Amino acid sequence: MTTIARVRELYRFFTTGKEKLPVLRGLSLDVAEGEFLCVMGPSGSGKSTLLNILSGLDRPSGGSIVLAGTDLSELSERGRTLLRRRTIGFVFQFFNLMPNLTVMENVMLPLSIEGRDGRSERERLRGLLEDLGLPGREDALPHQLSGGEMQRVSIARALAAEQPLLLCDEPTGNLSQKAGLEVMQILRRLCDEQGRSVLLVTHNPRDACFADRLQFLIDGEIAKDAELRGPNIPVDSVHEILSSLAI
Amino acid sequence: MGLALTTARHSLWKRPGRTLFSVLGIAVGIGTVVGVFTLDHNTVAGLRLRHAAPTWQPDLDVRAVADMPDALGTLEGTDGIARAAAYFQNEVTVAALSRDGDRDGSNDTGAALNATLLAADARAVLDLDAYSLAAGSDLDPQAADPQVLLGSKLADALGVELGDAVLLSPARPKTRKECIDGRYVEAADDGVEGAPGLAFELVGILASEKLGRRSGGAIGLIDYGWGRELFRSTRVDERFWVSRDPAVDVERLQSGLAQNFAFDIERSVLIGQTAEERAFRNGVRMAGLLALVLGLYVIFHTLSMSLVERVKEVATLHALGTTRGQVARIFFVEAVALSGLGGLGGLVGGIALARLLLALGITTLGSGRHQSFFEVPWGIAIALTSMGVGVALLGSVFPLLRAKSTNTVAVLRGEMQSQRTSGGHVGFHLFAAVLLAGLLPALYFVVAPVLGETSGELVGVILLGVGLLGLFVAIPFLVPSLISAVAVAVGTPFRRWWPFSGSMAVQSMRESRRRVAVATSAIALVVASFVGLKSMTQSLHAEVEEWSEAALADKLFVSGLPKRALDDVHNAVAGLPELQGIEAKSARIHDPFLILGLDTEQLTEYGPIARNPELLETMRRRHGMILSERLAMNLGYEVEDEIKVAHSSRGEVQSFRAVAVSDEYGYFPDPDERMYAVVHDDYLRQYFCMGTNSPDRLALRLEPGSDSAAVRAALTAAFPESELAFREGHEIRDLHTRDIDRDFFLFDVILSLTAVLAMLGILNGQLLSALERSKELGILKALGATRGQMAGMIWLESLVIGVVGGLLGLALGAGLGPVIVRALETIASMQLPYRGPEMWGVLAPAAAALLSLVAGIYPAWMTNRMDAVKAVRTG
Repeated sequence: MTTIARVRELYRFFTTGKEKLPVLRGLSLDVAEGEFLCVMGPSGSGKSTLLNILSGLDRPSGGSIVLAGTDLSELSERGRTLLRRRTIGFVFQFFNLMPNLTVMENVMLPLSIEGRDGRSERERLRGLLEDLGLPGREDALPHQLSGGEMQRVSIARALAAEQPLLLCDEPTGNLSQKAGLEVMQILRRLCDEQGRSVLLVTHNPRDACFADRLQFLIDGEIAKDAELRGPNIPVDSVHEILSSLAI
Repeated sequence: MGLALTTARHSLWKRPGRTLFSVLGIAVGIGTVVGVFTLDHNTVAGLRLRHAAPTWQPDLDVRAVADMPDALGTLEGTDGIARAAAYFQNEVTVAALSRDGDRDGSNDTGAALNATLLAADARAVLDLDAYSLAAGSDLDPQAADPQVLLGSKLADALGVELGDAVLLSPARPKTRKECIDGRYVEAADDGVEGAPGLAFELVGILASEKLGRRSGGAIGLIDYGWGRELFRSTRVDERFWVSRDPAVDVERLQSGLAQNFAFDIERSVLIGQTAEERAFRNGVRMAGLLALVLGLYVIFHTLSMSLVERVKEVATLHALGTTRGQVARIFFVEAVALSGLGGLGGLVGGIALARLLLALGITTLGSGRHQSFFEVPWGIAIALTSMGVGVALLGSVFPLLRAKSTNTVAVLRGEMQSQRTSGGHVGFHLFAAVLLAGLLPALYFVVAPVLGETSGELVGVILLGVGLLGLFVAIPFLVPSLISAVAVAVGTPFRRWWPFSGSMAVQSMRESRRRVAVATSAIALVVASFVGLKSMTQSLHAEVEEWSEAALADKLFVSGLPKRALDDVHNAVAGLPELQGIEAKSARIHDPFLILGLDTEQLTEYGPIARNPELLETMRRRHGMILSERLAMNLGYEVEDEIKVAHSSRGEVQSFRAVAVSDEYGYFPDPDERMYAVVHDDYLRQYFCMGTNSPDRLALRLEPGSDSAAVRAALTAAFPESELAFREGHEIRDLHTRDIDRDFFLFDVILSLTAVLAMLGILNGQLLSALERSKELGILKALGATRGQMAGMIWLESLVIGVVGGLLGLALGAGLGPVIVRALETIASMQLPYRGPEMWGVLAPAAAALLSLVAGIYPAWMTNRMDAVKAVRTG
């Protein structure tokens, strides 16, 4: 299986006064195409830092990242931006929709940034919104939507430019249980039906159940790694696996 | 107060850009106005110092028409006279009397010394502050016995002390000559010989300054009544010391006096007080007011918007238990810090600006006047600074009120974003309009009243200026949607070339209607002022061109002629077909304005005499006088008016009759004086005994379009020993037009500072907008927007604001131009042909767009520094 993201020996230190605080300590992982990888861990374990570095928003203190075949360390900031734009779709905990843009305008943002003509894409995006359970909401403003709807718009935006990798940072953290479940089902479907890769960062074991693989992060290192799905793993056994990891 | 200080300090320190540009906004506004007044103070004070007489001089020295009844009463009833004192000056001999001597002069001792005696109304002379005492007391107007004040040198020479008696006796003056019918003749004996003296008590010694310096200290001062008693058998030349009422314009004073009096005005009194100078100085002051209003306008909006940016901080503080009052204090402390720093910076910067401008030779009376004198007018500088700081503090009231009414729960739930476009600023704009367009100008005119009389016209002009300011302050209040809609319409086509940046810029302008309207208004205000100013200078150019058509066209000015050369000049140029006439500047007087004597027979080929040959006889035989346009305009003379000119020391006054108003005769470039009159030179011979055949300057009027080469050659050949200098009329015209540009350079400087303020307005607005939208901008970066796209959003918005503001300013400036020109005509008694701003109509809006783009550099840089990671991680 081809790897969409390869992380090797990743280090990240933050300086607080005279102290250097290690957040990531030699972390390595791979995300394969079409794979749903879940990264869990307690607060401060480095989950979000990993996402920021992987997306090129932040720079590592050491180690390498290869994203869609391109080594991030060889790229300028502009190069990283362009690679992020082509490769990564973001789904955030706080949705991060533009408050004064309509649903359709929000979804079209990545295309607009790329300079693609939104009109020709509009039908496709309307279909995408319908697929995500948002028919007829194109002209609504974010504050007119429920939390679950806003997150679905956020997912639609992450898919608009057909990026192969979705980085999801606590996507259900701000949602009700029901809405969170719907969102996770959508992400799972994207993997299964469209072959998208998903890297999910979460606190919630319930969300982890939707992943193919789980990596548990403690103090910036992979403490545990478990396959959650596969030909030899029955779906019903996921909870048992998680329990065995003492999560 | 600890919380307020700590929070305010952190807020100011952690947002250095906002702090710096807010302080700069106040500082540039206050600095400009302080600079203008410091410059004006030093301009006038420096020139007065340079031209000040070595001894005391009255504002005016006036002589009445001979045998005029109650001259003093008439004088005191004339507009513009604050105080008048009758006086005369004669020579006396002074001798000390023995202490036991009687006072009829029969028992004098000691040697008699010659001295100058001034006899003046003792009470009035005190009001005029004409002398200082080294010892003793002033003259007592009610004293039963005669009293005298002596110059210290004279008192020392006589060896007299206070309380001593001195004998004053009329001395025979040096032979005096008077001009009578063209000849100097000895004045008739005044009957001084043998006149008895009078004993005076020495009550005071004059200090060696003011009147005490006259005649090297050999001077005495007595009351006018005792003077008349002393010179009872002698004719005295009664005159008047006059101090002018500064509330009345010099022109009205001159016009009023000219009916019955001849007068000399002390030069230093006229500095900065002529109509043109007053108009110029008032214009500079108005420009200073504009800068102050614009500076405070910027800070108002900065303070207002700073709350929007910090609304979450306020809500959090409130949630943590901070009272509304404490929150308000935080903002107040910040406003005090910003205003105080800005005020201090403005005060220091304004003084430095004035010093720099003076060093560069730029003054409020035009450029090219270098002077070393410099002092700070602390009173007005501190008053203006305090006013600016006070108004800026008042501007913080609105954010205080807003801070107090912040909905904590809504903000903490992230629901305040939508309020950005909710029109919550209406109250603020109403408040700002009242404060900036009403209170500030009113305070300003109290601190710095307009120069000259507050005539209806001037009030009209001031109201117009204030109205314009009010309009601009009110635009964001009244029609933000319209301005924003125009900006959006202008910005929309850019989406074709820059889809993302264009869309986001348009979106931003659509959302932030008032911010866009404020920034656009500020730019428009500056452009309108600039266009209006350029319309004025172009009209002044046109006026010079029109004047030069009459006064300079086809003229060749010649200087460096030898004495008594007029006949040779005539011989040299006689018969040259190019020559139309000769104006020889030999005889001229200043009484009270420049009067030139010309040989009118030489003027028959052009000008009023050519058009009306009867004038030749009138000029020659019937005291005809041709007035220059400027003279007629400034002093209000018309054709057929009677004009009085004093022509002898005996107070005789001759009447002339204005027969024409024209600039075609009599202008000479040295001195450059456009306010003059021309009479036949016989009159200058007759009344002033002036020789008229020895010109030092010539103006030769040539046939239209002819070449001056032949005339130059003929004159050069006729005077091979002399170094003749030739100047063509068009050269002088060009010099005048260059002078206008040079003089108005100060306005360019002030308006450039206001342009900086407008830039700061845009910059602050966009910076705060960027800070306010930091989360959105961070998300866009996370979604893959490049630095160029992020900067493009800001720059595109800046460009659109600059273009819309520039075009709006151009339209308003085009309407304002004629009003400014008409106002200048009224205030400065000038006739100005209106000209539009010409090339400035294109340059000013283009410069506005460019400045606007420059203003976007820092916000664009800041936008790219927004932390995308932080943006996507926060709610």
